[in-house]
Amino acid sequence: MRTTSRVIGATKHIGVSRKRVEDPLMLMGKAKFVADIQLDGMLEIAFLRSSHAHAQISRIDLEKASKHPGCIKIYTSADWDTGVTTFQQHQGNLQPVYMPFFAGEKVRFVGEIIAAVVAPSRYLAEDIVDLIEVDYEPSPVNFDAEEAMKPKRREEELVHAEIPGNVYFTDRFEKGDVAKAFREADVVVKEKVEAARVSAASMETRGVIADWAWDDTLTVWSSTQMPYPLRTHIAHALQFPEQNIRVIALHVGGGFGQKCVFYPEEFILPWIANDLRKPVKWIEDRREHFLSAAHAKQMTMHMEVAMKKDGTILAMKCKTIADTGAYSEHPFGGLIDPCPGNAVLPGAFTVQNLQHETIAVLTNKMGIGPYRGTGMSGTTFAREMLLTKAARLLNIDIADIYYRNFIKKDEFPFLTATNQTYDSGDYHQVLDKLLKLSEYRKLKQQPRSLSSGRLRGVGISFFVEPTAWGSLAAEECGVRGITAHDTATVEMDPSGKVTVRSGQFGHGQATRTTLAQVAAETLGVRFEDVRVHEGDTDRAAYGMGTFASRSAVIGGGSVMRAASDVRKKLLKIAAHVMEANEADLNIDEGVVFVRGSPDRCMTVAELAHITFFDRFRRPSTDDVEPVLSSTRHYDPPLTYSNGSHFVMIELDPQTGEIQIKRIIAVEDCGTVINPQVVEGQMRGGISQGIGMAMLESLEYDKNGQLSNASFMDYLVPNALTLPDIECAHVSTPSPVTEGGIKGCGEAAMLSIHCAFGNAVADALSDFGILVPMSMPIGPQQVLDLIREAGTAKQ
Amino acid sequence: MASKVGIRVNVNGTSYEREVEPRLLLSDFIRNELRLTGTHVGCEHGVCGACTILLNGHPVRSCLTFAVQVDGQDLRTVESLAATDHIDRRKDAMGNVEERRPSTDALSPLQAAFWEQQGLQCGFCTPGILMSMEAFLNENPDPTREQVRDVLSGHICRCTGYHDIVDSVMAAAKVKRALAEEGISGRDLLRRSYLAE
Repeated sequence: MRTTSRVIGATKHIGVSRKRVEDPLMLMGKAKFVADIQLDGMLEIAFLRSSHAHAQISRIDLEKASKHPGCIKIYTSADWDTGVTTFQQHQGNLQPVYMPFFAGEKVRFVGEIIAAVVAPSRYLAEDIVDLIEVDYEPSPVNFDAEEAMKPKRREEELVHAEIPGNVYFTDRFEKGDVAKAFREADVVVKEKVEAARVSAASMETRGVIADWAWDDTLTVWSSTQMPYPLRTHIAHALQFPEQNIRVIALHVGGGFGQKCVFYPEEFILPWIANDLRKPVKWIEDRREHFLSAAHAKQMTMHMEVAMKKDGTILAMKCKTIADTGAYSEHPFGGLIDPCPGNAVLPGAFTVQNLQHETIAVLTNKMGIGPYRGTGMSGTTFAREMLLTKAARLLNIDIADIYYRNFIKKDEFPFLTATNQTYDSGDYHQVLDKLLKLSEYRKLKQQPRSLSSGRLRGVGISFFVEPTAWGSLAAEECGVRGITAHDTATVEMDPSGKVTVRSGQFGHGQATRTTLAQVAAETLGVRFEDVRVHEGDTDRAAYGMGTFASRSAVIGGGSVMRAASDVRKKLLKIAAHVMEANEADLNIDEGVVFVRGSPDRCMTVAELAHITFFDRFRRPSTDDVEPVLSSTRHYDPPLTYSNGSHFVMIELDPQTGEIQIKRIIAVEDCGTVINPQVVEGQMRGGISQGIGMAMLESLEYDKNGQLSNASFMDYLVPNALTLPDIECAHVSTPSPVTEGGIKGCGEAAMLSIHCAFGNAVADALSDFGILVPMSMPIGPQQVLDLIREAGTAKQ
Repeated sequence: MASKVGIRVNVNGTSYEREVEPRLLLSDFIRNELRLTGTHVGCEHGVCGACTILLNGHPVRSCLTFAVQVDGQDLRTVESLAATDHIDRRKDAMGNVEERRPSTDALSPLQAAFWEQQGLQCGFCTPGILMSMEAFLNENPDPTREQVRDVLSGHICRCTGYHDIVDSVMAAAKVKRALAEEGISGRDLLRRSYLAE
């Protein structure tokens, strides 16, 4: 289908940094997050979670607990023995992994739910949880993914008895002649690269409230990123009529992908509310969050790159082993890391010989879910660190390797080695801009060693980000089983004001603002006259929600389509009322006027009133139905953003401590709806990317106990970790999406950590060719690298 | 269950008397007993700073304080920042009276700067940051970016990368200094600027 023209009328609203309509409520402390909701007679729930990583449960004794005066009821798998299975249609050899809501005979990770205690308050519920007695018979813990794949003697040693070898998905892909390319290469770099297990750790933890009412309706508040799909899945799991369920997520305190998972609690709470006929509430505490909200990104990549002397990349090989934890989290499953990860291996480069292999392994840890950039963070790190090393071996600057291998701007659409179709971009321009802003070449000429004894390093990285996660994007990212489209409804009421109902759901991304901008622009009305509904299944429109850099493109596109329909209809009515030629009419700031004679005008409000209430003036209802609304669907083709990052660090070779001195980001995300919002996404992504690059790692010990399940021990960047972050833009509108919009949310997590690693390698360049091969790059790894260089010299 | 203890506190200028369990956290007291849910709880062990409130003018972590510890004292939460005397109507440039929009007209200079500079995204950590900065700007009306970062490092924000928060606080400091020089309160100025808009 042809896309609507890029800009209708003047660009009054698109490309403008509108202040976010979301903010005043939140600044005044009036926004209602799930924990803020109080219902009459509401009971609270605390969960008993497994303290063993892998064990048979031989006995659960509720006797003492149920005698506690505050105990209302305790639920276990004996009460509700059901669960969910990974989405698995059309996905190669993926085997279903069943996840029970309550662990029954066996627990598979520390933090798995065994029982739910209902009490008048959380304080009491936690008291009662402590009284439940559970006898465990521990089994050997599958701790390391590569160890877990080895044959087992007994069935109990497997994470799931029905999945032999603990491997539930494998895939192999090859394009071009990889073997020949490797034979002809001047340089081959081969490394094992590791990405740590991290947590998105949104500031608001998860939380669910469920309320059953006597008209047999269920209302569920959840801190989720995808209210509509959650409704569908609750209906399915509870066998409850979907039209009687309302899911509300009015304000969500950050998601980053982690809340794109349907968690057991989101089914258990509605089920208990239905069973008890009372409202129930559960708010996750921070320890529960670290233990049982999806982890992300743990992968081991065995990667090889073949290059010519002049820096041309001939071929890449990558075997990606993903440690996806005990369950394949519903709905995307543990594939969300390795599949997109391998799919983005070619990056911005023309290389056509590529081989990759995916292995998804079950271990006794919390399951893996999406998190900003998903597994793409890991594979881009592997690729860039190998390229950094190759550049040093060939004595070519990494920037020149980029220039040599870039897809040129006249080569789009470009089919990459992994069969992704890049739509547009101008990579040379973006990198030129970054190098100029950062004075990269000049800095590279200067000595690394500073008078303070510290070492300065500079690094850059270039990324291409698949955005607009619709069905095609999912497929091009190796997740075939997902059908992800969205709808939007645009309605004009009799007073000429506009309501937008969207399937997107912003939780920090300001979609209420940006979608209103798109609607105002397309319709020609005032921004203030548009209200956006989202995050409430009784008010919004069916859609998948906000994740995977999709909302600007899919939300924006669907709103653009629906608003364009309403505009056409309004103009048709206006032509009749104003006795003018439809083609001569235009709408601007809520006024319809005849082009060339602006005194012949009517307000949109007048026209809307006539449409609804004046049957003598409006056109015959046989010609135009007096309904000023439209619902449209959008499942866009994939569009690819690109950009580049620069990082300057100072490293103390005595202690390994690293300070970041400067960060610059240049990004091309096509048509920008709201520059301030885009820069917010860029800066926020950089912050999380730096966390992943230098600080964050969820540390399980050999017994499967998570040893840093608090913000005291799991370090995330604070205001002193990061410098000011400079942003710059290049814009090549997408030729394939509505309005030329591309996504931008995840970009930094495909790149900033690579620029950081590159800067570390640069700072250490006086010691030799030292390139970090695992994340996070903390002081210990830096010191190990320096020590390694010392022993190599002797 | 432990016996309850009577406490009396002044929160945002209103006096409250309640019977509480000694183990009740101040954060839960403010949120659940007083229903002032603007104060958020992000970690419950004093690291993230989302629950920061002002106790006798000084920032404290309400999740590390028991309600019984603040008996007889003076608290301020994020709900106290915006003006409560709503501007019901305002005139636009053409002299027409616009619709009632009290929620956006009553922000304090600090809140207005956060709005202007996008000092928040998901907004969960924001109330705590606002309270810390409210106290900080009273102590140090003319801070450097480094000083702001230093205070801000007691808070965790996962969305913004902190840059826009620092911008917001610097902008707020500037506005507040200008107001102090003119000898007018923030509310007067806001009211005037919105009426003139």
